[in-house]
Amino acid sequence: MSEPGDHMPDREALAAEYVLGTLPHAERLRAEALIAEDAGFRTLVEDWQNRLAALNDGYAEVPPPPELLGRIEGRLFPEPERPRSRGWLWGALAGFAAVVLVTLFVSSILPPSGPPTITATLTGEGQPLMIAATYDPAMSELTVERTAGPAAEAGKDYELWIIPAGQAAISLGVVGEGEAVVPLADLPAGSTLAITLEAAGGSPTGVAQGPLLVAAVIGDG
Amino acid sequence: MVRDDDPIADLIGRVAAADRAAFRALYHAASAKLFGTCLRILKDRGEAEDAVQEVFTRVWLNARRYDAAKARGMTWLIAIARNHAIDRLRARPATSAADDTAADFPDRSPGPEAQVLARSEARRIADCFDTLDPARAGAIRGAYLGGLSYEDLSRRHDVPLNTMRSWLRRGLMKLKECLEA
Repeated sequence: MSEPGDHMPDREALAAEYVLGTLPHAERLRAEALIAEDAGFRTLVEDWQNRLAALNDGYAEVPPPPELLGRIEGRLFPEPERPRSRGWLWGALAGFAAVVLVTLFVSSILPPSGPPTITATLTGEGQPLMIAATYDPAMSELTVERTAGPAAEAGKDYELWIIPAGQAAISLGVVGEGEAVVPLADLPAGSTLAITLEAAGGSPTGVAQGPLLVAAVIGDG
Repeated sequence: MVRDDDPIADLIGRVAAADRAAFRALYHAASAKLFGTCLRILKDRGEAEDAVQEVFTRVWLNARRYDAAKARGMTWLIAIARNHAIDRLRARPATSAADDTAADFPDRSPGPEAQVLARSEARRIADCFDTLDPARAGAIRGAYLGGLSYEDLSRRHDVPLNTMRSWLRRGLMKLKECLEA
C-alpha cells in the first residue's frame, strides 16, 4: 500500500512537522539550527507556516494581565536610575555624555597657599559655541565667558547650569557679553557645567527648557 | 502576494526602525491573540505570560527580518509565539501524560481575522482540510493548536508512535498536494 506521504522528502517532512509542532525537543532544535543556516529549509518552513496559518483562527484572544506591557518595556528599554524630578537636562546629558569633553585643568597660578583654581571649557559636538569657565575656590566665584561661537540669537539667552553629580540642575544665570561672575560655594568633582539656549532672561520656570548646547564634566583634580 | 491591508505588517515595519510607539501599538493589537496562543499550548498562565514577554522581546529584536511579501504580519507573530511556546513545552521535564485539557481553552469560532485574511487563500486551505479524512484533519488541527507531540498523539489515539508519525505525515502531504493542485 502506498499513500502520497510515503514519498515526502525528509527535509520537507521535517519542515512540516516543525511547523505542526509535533517533534520531540532534540529534533526541534535540529530544525531550528537548519532554519538559521539553510535558506532553502527556511523557505520550506515559511511555506508550511502559511499553509497552516488558517488554523490560527482557532486560537482565542485572551487579554494578558495589564502589567505585562510594562514588564516587557522595562526589560527592553531600561531607564537610567534617577528620579524624574531632576528634569529633562539629565536626560539630555545622558545622550550628550559621549561628546562632552572633560576639559579640566588645575592651574597653579595662584600662590601655593590657596586651593587650586579649576578651569574648564564647555563644548559640544558640531557646536561652534565654546564657553570658558574658571572657578576660584578662595573667592567662591565662578567666572564664565564666551570664547568662540555666535552670541545667542535675538530674543534668546545662553543660560548656565550646574548639575551636581546625581542631582537636579541649578541655574547660575544667563551668560551675556564679556565675563559673567557668579557666586558659587563649591564645584566638586563629578559636577557638570552646561549651557542651554533659553528665552531672553533665562528659563522662567527655573528648569531648563531649551536645547543643551555645550557642557563639561568636572574631573578629579 | 499583495498585502494591501495588513496594519500589523505596517506596525512590524515601524518596529524594525526602533519605533517604540509602534511597538506599543503592536502590543495592543496582537498581545491578546499571542497570549491566547501561548496559553492554549502551555496551559499555564504564568508560563504563558513569560512566553509572551519573550515573544515581544524577539519581535523587537528581529522585526527587521520580517518580510511582508512572505507572510501576513499576524501569521509571522503567531509563528514566533507558537515556536517559542512549543519549545518551552518540549523542554519541560517529562511529567505524567499530558491531559487533554483542551476543553479549558476552547476553540474559537472563525472571527474577524478569518474575514480579513485574504479570502481565497483561507477558503482554499479550509477546502483542502475538508478533503482529508476527518480523523486525520482533527489530529493535525489538535496537534497544531494544542502543541501536542507525537508521543501525546500516539497515547491519545492508542497507536505506536511511528504509526502516528507516518499517518500524520501523509495527511500533511495530502494537504500540500491539494493546495498546489
